[in-house]
Amino acid sequence: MGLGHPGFPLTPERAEGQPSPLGIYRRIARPEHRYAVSTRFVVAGTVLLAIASYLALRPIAGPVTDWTGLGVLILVAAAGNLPARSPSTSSRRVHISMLAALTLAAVPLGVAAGLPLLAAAHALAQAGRQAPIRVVFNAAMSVVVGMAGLLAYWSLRGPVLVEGAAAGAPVVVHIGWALLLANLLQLVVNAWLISLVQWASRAVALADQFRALILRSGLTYLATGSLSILIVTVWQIAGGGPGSIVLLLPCLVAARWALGHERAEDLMQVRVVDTLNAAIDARFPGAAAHSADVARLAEWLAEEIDLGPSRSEDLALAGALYRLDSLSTPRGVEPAPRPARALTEVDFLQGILPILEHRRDGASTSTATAGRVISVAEAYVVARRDPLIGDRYAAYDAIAGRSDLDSIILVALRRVVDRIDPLPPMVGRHRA
Amino acid sequence: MSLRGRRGLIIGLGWCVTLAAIARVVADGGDLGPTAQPAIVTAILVVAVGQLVVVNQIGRQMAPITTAAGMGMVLTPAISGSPPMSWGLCVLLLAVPMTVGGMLSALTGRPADVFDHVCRYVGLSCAAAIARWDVGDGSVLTIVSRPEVTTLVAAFWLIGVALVGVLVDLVLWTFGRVRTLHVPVLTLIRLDLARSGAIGAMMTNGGALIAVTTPIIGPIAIPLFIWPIAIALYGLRRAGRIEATQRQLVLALSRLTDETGHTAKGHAGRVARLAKTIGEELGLSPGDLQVLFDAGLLHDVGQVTLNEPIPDGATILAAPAEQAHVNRQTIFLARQAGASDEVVEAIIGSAAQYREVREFGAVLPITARILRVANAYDDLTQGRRTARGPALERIHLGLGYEYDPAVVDALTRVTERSARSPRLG
Repeated sequence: MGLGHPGFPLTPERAEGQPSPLGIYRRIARPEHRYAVSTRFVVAGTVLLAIASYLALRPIAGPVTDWTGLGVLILVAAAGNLPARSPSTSSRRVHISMLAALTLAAVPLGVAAGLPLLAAAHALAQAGRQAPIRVVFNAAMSVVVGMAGLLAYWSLRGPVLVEGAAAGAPVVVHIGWALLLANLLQLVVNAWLISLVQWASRAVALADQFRALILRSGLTYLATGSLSILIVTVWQIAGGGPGSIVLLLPCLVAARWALGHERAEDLMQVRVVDTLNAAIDARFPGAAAHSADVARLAEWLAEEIDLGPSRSEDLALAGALYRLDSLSTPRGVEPAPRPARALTEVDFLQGILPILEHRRDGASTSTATAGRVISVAEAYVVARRDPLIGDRYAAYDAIAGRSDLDSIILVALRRVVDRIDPLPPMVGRHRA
Repeated sequence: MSLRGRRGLIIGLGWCVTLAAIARVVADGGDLGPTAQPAIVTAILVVAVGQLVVVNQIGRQMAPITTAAGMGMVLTPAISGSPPMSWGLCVLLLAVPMTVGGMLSALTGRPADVFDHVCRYVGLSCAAAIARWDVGDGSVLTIVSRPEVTTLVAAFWLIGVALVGVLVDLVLWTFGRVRTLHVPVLTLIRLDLARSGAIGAMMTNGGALIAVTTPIIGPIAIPLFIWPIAIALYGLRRAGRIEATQRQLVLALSRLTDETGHTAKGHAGRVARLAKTIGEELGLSPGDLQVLFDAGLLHDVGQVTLNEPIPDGATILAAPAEQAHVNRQTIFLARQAGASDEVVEAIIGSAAQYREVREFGAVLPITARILRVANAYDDLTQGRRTARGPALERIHLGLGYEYDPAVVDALTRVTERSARSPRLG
């Protein structure tokens, strides 16, 4: 699997069949058009890095010794990047490829010189479905990542196998740990490149993004890469040859399916929040877009005051659902309805329930910061969307003097506003 | 034959296989052959540990790691020049770790159904027997050991044998379970193949690859080829979590109308349970019952979009325009929540009167007709058992016009029973 493919967010990513465009509270929907120039710089830099690394490491790779084998790997790389229907109940499409395993396997199989072809085939399989700049970036990134793996494997004196050479358990062990360490380096390079392009395209915090990618996708990446050991063992050591890929297909397909569920689970959670937002939006048209703005800004502020990736995500979710209370019916002397209680059985929302409740009670201490962040975000969104208030700075000035807002978070907001326009003017969207 | 008799027969078959294996080992002079080989010891350990990692597929407990490692052990042709293990020895070496693993599984509170273990054991024993069956030109294990047979061809031979073993396991399980699930044998086999085909392919391939590579790279082959199966199991767990989140979403939506004050407490849950009970009374399939339950939970969620709530959330008492609005919003939100087409159809149809079927030949799914009746009953009773009589009287006024008479009859029967039971009402 290449981290770049599922994680690269140059265009907002939405699974086919997603019923609503409301999943915009997430990181992937941050405004991007203002950063197009810096994104292009990063993509161009990655392409140059790919070319330079290939030219520099070409002597290490040596000539391609098995063109048939390279052809088979290219075929699998391309096929592996085609959308696959997830057999889960959500029946959504997932995009997990086996590129890491294939690029790693190419090295001991003696076809590392063909890595650019592998990367190109892998990226081109998505050509019609992705923006060209994304395809170019993914291809270039795959080459850089592949070359990093080659360099690591070569540094560890990993053996390159030739047909007919005797090989036993010690060789498998040597190849195994060399490939695993090479895979680790690939993970770091891949995550770093993605973080860089996200920093350029959406102004996310570079270190924060890198840490989140490693924590969330690291194990999956390493698990996929480790399948390269199987390919090398059956193909070269057991003498199965290129045809042995057929034997491994069930393993590769099942692993791809299994690891694809990480993304499917993420999409399922988006569906939950979107559905709740759709209910709010149906009653108060425009409320979902307003909540999305609050969620986005709340996440940004959480990053700015360094609350950590997990808390930032909670704040984005809480921001997206902060208007859930508005669904309540007006009551007289009866106890006030508490819509957030309907969510008590939704596992992944457990972290935000205290935040939603805090906004009602105003008394919690553990969630006080989160509540204050949302209050500042909400106030800024209202000001920014006010047609009588001019630009982002005017919106900030309009709320800066308010005593009910946390001054530290206001300072953080100022830093965000100085850096970027967190809520660019709306085009064709509802107003709250 | 009764269900218990069939299960007993299969468990007895497992005992027979074990006794035959013991007899065979004794007849061979108690020769334990290559038992001490590191690869065999590793396989035995993995078989035992695999019994602790069980996945549930439509009621069947599968232990893919045990099956793959066991297949690898019984199909390994020859290690370091030693001949393959005899069938009896193979089977005994499977029986011990499978029993120990099964007991550990039970002791640690994991699911451990003896019947499922026995089916697996007999399937593996069958594969071991077939691999050693002399087909005239020698057994499969002899054929795949010949130098002229390539690795690829050998692997395909062994995959074929492993496939037979996995199918024997499946057929035995189906034979023993068919009456529990009230589903025909072939349908069960087809369902099981569809849902666990991928994991079955991994077990057969994994076992064959272990068998082919163990003579070359030794015991390391076992963890190496078990690894993708472990990844697949991780994926299955994730798939389970996704399904759970979907269920949680439906439940959250069903509670949303309660918590916002639009409906009486517990209305959606009561309608879902009552609709399911009526469906059971009318002999609906398990799939339709699930549709009914989900549609019952979601049927009123559109009410949250109302600024002025309907009194007590009773749509039966609301104006037709208001009912139509709620139904429209409910359908929108149900689709948004990923409800199946059948659930959406039930919700759509629940807004229609029964006379449309009778007078205009409209096609209303039975689930929709049941949901309409169940909702009307709960709207009228608000969960109070004492209101049963007046509610049924009111519903009978609309018999044949508003409500399907067959469904109302079923409602009358189940509510009569529920009057004596604490669960319904």
